[in-house]
Amino acid sequence: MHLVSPIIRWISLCWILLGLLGCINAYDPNLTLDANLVVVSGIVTDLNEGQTISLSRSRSNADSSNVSVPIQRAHVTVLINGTTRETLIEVLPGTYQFPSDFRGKVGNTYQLRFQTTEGTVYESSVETMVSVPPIQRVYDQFTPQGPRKTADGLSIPANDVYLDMQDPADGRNFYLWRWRLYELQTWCATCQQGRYVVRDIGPVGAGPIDIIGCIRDSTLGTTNLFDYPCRGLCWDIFYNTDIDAFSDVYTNGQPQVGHKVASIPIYQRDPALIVVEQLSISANAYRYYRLFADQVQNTGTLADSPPAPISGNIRNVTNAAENVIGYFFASSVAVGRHKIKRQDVNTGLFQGLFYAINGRAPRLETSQPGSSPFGGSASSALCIPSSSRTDQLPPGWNE
Amino acid sequence: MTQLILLLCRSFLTGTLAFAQPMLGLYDGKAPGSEHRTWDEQTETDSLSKTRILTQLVSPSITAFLPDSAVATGREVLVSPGSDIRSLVLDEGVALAKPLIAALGQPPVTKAIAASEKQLATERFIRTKELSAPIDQVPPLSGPAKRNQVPLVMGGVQAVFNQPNRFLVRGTVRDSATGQPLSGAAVIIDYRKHLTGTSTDAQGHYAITLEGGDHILIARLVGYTPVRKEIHLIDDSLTVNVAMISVASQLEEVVVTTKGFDQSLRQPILGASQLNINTLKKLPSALGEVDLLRGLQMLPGVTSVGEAANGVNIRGGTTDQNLILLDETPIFNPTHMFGLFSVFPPDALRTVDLYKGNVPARFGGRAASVLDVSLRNPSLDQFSLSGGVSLVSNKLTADLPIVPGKFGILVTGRGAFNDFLLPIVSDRLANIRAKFGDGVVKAFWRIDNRNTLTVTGYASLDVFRTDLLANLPNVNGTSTRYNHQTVNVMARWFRTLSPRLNWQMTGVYGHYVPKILSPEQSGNLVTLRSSVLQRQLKSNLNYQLPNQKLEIGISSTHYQLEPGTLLPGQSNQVNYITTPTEKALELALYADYERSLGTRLAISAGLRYSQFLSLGPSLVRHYALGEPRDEFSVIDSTRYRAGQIVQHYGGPEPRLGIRYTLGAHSSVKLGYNLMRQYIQVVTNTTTPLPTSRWKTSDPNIRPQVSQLVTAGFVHSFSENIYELTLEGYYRTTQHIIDYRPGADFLLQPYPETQLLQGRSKAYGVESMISKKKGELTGWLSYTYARTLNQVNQGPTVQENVNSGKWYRANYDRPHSMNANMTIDVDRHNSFSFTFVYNTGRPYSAPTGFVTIDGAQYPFYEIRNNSRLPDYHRLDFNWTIYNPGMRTRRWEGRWAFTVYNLYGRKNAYSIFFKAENGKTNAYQLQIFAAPIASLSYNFVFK
Repeated sequence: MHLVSPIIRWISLCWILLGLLGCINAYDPNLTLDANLVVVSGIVTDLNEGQTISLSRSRSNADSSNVSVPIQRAHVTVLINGTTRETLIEVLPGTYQFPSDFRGKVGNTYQLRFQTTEGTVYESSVETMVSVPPIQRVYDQFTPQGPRKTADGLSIPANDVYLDMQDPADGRNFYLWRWRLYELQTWCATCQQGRYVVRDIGPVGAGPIDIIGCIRDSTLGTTNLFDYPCRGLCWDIFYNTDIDAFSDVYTNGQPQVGHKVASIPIYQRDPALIVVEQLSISANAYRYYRLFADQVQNTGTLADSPPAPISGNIRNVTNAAENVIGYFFASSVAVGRHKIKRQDVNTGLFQGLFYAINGRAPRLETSQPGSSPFGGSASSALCIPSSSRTDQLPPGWNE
Repeated sequence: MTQLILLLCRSFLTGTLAFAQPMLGLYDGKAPGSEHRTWDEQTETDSLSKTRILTQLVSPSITAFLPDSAVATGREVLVSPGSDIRSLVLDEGVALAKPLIAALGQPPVTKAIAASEKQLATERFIRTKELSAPIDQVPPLSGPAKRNQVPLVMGGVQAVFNQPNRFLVRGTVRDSATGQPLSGAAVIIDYRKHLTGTSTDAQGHYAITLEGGDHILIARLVGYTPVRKEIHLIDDSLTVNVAMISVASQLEEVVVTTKGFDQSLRQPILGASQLNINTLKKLPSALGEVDLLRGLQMLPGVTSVGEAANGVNIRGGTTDQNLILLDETPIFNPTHMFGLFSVFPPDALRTVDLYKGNVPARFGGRAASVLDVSLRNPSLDQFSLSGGVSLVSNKLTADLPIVPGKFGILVTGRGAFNDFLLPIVSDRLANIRAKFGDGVVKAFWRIDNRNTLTVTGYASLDVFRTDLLANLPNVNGTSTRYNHQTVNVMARWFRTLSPRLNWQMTGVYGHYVPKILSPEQSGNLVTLRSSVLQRQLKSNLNYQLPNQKLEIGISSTHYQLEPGTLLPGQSNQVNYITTPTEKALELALYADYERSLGTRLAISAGLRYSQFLSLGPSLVRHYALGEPRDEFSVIDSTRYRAGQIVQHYGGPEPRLGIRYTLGAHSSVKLGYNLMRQYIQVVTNTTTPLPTSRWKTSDPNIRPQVSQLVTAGFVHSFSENIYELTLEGYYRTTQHIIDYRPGADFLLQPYPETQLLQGRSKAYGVESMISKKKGELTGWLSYTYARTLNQVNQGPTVQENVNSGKWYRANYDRPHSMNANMTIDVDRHNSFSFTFVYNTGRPYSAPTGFVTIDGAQYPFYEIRNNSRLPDYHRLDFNWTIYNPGMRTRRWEGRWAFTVYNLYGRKNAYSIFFKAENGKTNAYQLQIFAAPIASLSYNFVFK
């Protein structure tokens, strides 16, 4: 007994733990889908940047689980303080932009109203822009056991990013955080069955160039990939996908130390910049985001709450039963920037972002036999700005 | 050959006696067969009796004790002292011989043996030789080899001298079941085999002489459980009859019984199951931990939401609609380690009664069922120790008779501390903590023949931490720990007023304290503490006549609930926040009456009248009618002072059971029940967390009222070996509790703003066939059961569920089948298999997906619109009883169990997670692989 028991205990412990920890498997739910929902996404802020609201329609049915179609040519207005009406202009399909000089202001009220081409009118509740306390400090800590990429995956090393702030003593405050992360990217283009082509207009290697981009080369295999390094500095931008809403119900007026806002996987060992935005939201917006978070990200516990339909603050004026997804609100924003230096990180590659994203090493055209007929200058690519990439030095990078 | 020849006295005795006795050697030199023996005869003194024992005899002799010639009658009496194969109790013979001489001249000897010394000795020798022949080769001094009892002649001699302090004890040993006399049973006194002992003759009779005083009589026979009896010899001879229980009949003990074979036919109440504790111990159990709640789920009508369910659902009831009593004290959280194990100490259980149909009127306060678990009383005359080691826990139980026959204490404890090994197994597990323990102290005092006092103390503690539970929201903690403890005390005074009438007075104290601990970065612990305190006094009278039974009683229960207090500890980040304490009083009067009318009809009628008083101090909000209850619809509020009655609810709770016998082997039953529930768990999770909030009814939350109608049929056949039961039920419950989307009860002073009340209906048919006797026992049950809820307090999604239509309850599992088979191969081995099948429980699946800013999220519209895959599982258990077959005082039992034998990956839940811009579906399993385990249990008496 004394000999056998410890061994068996060990075995069983492993089993229990596997049972309690590892037993999450992908599941094919075979869903019966039937939904057709208007989705509104937009926040009025006092940030010094262009502000947009996007409208789309998500359809799910037996044939396709999710088709998102922008709602185009809608008439979108925002009523300010119940008097002034700003009309938004569609700049991209489904994306409507405020006039470029528009900025939200603390204390003002905002109400969104839009009419689709079919004539349906939607209206949000009236939202007041509330001030937000500043972020006092943003800092990070390396953890070898960070988040899981998927629920059935393993923990990956990460930098946990925390912030400190002081909750104001007056009244109830609700917060929402969002962040974006700038990671240095050294590879700017990938061509499949093709080659990246730029043509020097002026002196070779120094003057202006004409970008032609990937040119198909049928001598290459259809799965052949060539990767091209960036010509200058380039940053990839990552955004939060998790919802982080907080209420001061238990902490009113107290300093908040160590609120974890992000867990950034170690894409690479190079430093990165995180820009954290702290938004103040209304009680109803908080409830909405909390419920949304509970249903889409805080699932898989031993005692989940049964999901329920979520109703935001946008209603079909004529049909109250229609459920509109999204919460329109206005918020003052406090920004905190922090350079994640990754000096204590003991894993990951230097300049490893490409590998971290693509799961393979970059493949240079020149490393292959019979390399470019267009000459050496073709072996680097331009950093093309988009929502997920920038060639502009992010503010705070050199601090 | 003859290592022993027993006869009176050896030469060296002479010196010790007052006058010299002539001694006759039986042989010239060593006895035949012992010629080659070289060892010396030895004398030992028995430590207990202080009598001398002669061993390793090779030269037998007879010592003559001659009387004074003046009184000599010429008769000879041969005295053979007690002996076994290799030893002879010397002083026993001397002790007999001396009084014999002295008694001469007084009343005549009634029975004596007249024969020449030599002849007798030879006869004796031959007999002994025959007896000892089979174990001739046993070497000397080999320790406690099996000894064959040689019947003593002493019994015949005893009357010769009516020594004032020696008495005759006689009796018959019979089989307890058949009544057949048992021959060859060993009867031993005070464990001293070689001093006092005999065996029964062909008629099962025995007789033995003893000194006055207290003795323990032990009867033993192969194939039977030893019987121990305490006897008091004072001034007369005694007849002690012994009924021995065959081991075989113990092994084939009833599997699941409704209070005995024919009682399930005769009893007028329906749906009362008694789970046999021995059956429970034989059921295959997860990780070798004998578990009551898992065992109960083998019965029809008892299900749960899954393997990590924090309670069971009985006939469509929620987990908090079951009244769980442990020695009359309330159990608010029946599980350890988040549903994996139940809190009942397995070694101290006496009876487990589950009332899922007719509930006697003495029980009340919950809407669905009563699980009445009673702990055994301490033994008043025998010390015993039992315990066990399983993969999960270690346990020990001791029966301590402090004052024999009067006062005893039972102590049992169980602890699971094995989590310290986790970080060694893997760094990843360093964050897991799971420890639990529970213990009972039960004292029983027999004050006199009419009064007894019983006191039970129960405590349990759990410390649990896992990634699989949500963190405490809105506190910047690094992780979340759960910590909950129970302290229950019960004291009962039982008094017999007359043989037909008895009275009981019981006081109950139950205190449950769950906590959520959230450590901050600084190491400080932020604690969210809540508690439920229940204090109860009750008194009842029982009156019994041959065909009727009456119980009347009164009960008063005081509740004090602390819904939650946030304790910041050293934190400067978190505020101290508390919610008002709730106080309430539940009063009840009840009467239960059972009577048989003729041979066919029996009725059990009960009436309980309960009153619930919600007490101040409190602040009660009034809401505008027809509007959702929230901060905006408050129109007024009333403040109540301490002790003021805020609201009262209550009413009669009739209970009725009718049994009509259709013949010798079958009966039909009908039942009706009404029950009121004034205290409930409010939680919106699939299974309540240990920290879930308990809430008393108040002006805004109405009590739940449940009505149940049942009909049943019981038939037994093949001489009660098989029994078939069929039961159907229909149950409706008013004011069940459901929740608004996004409901949050943590530290919520007005929980009515978070919840909705509705109604529930449940119906089903339960069938079960069981084989109750024989080497193979077991049962097969099939249940069809549905539970549907309806919540419709208004038109918006905030006020109804599924647009106010009936929807499936979380535990609605239409088909379930349970099978158990236990094979008792022999006295040492038994095998058991159980098979479980259940329809998967409902869950809410998305009805669509939405894309917000390029990322995809699930969208839910309908509650419980889908089902998990079916659940099924086969378990196996092999129990080995007393494998060593060594001393009978230590009885060991190994249990080898494989849970989930074929490794079915049963889903506990299916969930959807938005990850990296996509929605993925997963299933969570608790025991997804075959889990083998070994446990050892022992009893030492």
